[in-house]
Amino acid sequence: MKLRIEDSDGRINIAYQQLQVEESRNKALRFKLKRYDALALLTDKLNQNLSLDDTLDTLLNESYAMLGSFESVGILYLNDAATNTLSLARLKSNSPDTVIKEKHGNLFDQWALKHTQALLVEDTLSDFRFDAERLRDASRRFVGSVIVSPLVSQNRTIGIMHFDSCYLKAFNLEDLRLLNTVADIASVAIDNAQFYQRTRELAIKDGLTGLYTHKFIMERLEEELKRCMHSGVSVSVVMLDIDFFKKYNDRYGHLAGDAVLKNLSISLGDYFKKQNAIVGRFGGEEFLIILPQADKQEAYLAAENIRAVIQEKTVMIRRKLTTFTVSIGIACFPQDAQQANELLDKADCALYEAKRTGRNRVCLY
Amino acid sequence: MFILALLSEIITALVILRWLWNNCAFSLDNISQAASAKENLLDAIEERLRYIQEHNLQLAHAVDTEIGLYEVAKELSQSLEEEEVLSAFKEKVSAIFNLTDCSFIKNPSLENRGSGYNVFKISAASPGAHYFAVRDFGKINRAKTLVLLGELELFLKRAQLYKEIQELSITDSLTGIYVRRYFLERLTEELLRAKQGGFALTFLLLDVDNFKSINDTYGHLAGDAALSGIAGILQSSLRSIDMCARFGGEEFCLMLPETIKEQAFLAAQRLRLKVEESRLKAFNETLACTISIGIASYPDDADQINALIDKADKALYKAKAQGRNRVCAAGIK
Repeated sequence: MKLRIEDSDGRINIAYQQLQVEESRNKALRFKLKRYDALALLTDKLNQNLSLDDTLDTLLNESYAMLGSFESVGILYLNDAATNTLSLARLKSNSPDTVIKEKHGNLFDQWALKHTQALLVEDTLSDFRFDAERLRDASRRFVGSVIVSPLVSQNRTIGIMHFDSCYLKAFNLEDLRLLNTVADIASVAIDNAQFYQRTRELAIKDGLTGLYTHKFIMERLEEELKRCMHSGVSVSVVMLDIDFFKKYNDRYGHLAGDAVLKNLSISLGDYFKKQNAIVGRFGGEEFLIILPQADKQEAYLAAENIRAVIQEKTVMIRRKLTTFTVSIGIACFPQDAQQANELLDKADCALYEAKRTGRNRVCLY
Repeated sequence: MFILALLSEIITALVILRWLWNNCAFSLDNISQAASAKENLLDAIEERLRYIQEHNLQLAHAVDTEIGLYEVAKELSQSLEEEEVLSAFKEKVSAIFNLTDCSFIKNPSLENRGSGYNVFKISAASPGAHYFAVRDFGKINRAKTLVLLGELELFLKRAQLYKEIQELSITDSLTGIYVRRYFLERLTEELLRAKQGGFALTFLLLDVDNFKSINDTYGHLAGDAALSGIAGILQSSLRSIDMCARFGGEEFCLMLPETIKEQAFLAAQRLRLKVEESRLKAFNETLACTISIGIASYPDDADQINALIDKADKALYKAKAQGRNRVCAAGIK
């Protein structure tokens, strides 16, 4: 009987040890799974938003939540492709008084940039690749261990993700692998934000109204003036503003304001199509129409016509038919001004005059 | 009284005996009880061990191919076309996770759901691929699939944005001059204006002679350098009201508003000579190129855009046929 007890004691010990091993393995595996969830959350958040600022914020905050621990610092650098220099874009740490002196990256970041390779240094004091003395001189903080991963897109390094800690062995290979995955996700997310920015810059049509953008119509005005200097014919610019537009927005909300803008753009587009005119949204509720080869009298006639057309138009707002009116100012090249800006100023003056004298009318400069 | 005292003695003795019975380590029964308690404990531990081993096996299965997350992203980052992204994703994911059956589908049908498919929605959907359906889903797991699909969406969005940029661009990335699509828009406007104002308008189509042999001899990079060099010459030789664009491949087009054919012919000859005399630098090579030009005018040759381009193209063909490095105009022998 005693033997039996001793035997089961032994077996209990063995089983218990095994159990402990398995339990800790279980914990590690669950930890990894939790990281997948965090990664999924990261990609999900990145997919929601295309602004560069928000993308950078999300990237560093979410990866800090995964990789950062007590007294560690996360840094996101962006790389200028032309000069191949890093600049600090985002910084995150637990203590508010963390100061990063290396605005262009430290030894480790430079190494990762140069080799286009991820880097793990568990103990900065004993890694022969890096001079610990130099590191200490360069930085006010002590860096014990560090992981760095470059962000690569189309064979160009667009940035660096950097995590460090004042403790030795704060990061392991597992963490580096995760950082690499985050870096891959980060580079495409940053690409997307920059591509989106580019589409905005390239757009020559306004998203809401489908008319030309301010930038494009200004370019066209310059071109138009150049060619008219050549041939000596006149150009008229028509500046048009919706009367009491603020009232629509305030009373019926922005959607109603948008409806009015859309409606007006359709009228303008239809009317001026035949005239070979260039119609653009100049900003807010202001529109600019360039009438090539039109002298003041022709421009006045066209403007008076469109004013009358708009006055008769109705828009359905909150199930009620409403009408709106516009005020118009006209200036003419070459008699009013020789330069684009001056010409626009003059048209603006005339518009102001129309507003001042009771709105819903056309004024010539 | 005596009996009562005896009774209490007996009860006390019984209590003590009972206590001894329960606590005596040497009692045979107690030893066997302890042994069975230990065995129960052992059973419990072993059961927990079995359970957690099995659980760990499942978890490890879900986790062990995590390197896949890394590889899939690497693979996808190579492509800027939506189609390529989709096919690279499918190929890589099925290879890494050893899936026999996964595909992109337009609509999740009941048939898919019933037969053990897991279906995921893709938010940056491209035509024909709104959902991703996987059959042997046990080989991946939900968390990992969500990461993979998140990555896929980011790359799809990148491809879509890239395409949008191409469509929005009005200048050609290689040569810096306008693209054909934007040029044609402006030509339409210009033709309308010419009709209304009673002006002439001349259209020039221009082709680099023997471009293929430049490419073959010096390589594509040199060919590209030649194209951008010629574009630079064109750009710098034009009046501010003229416009030039890359028509496609090694073809360029020009429009000269308020210009009659005879004037345009002189201008074209000047351009041809300028290109012939210039030496284009392409890395270590110095290239000599010539161009052929075809001319057509409104209102002499055509009053519609397509007809105008067609006439200019025919004139260009004639210039090529007559030996290249020359200018031909529609309607002039």
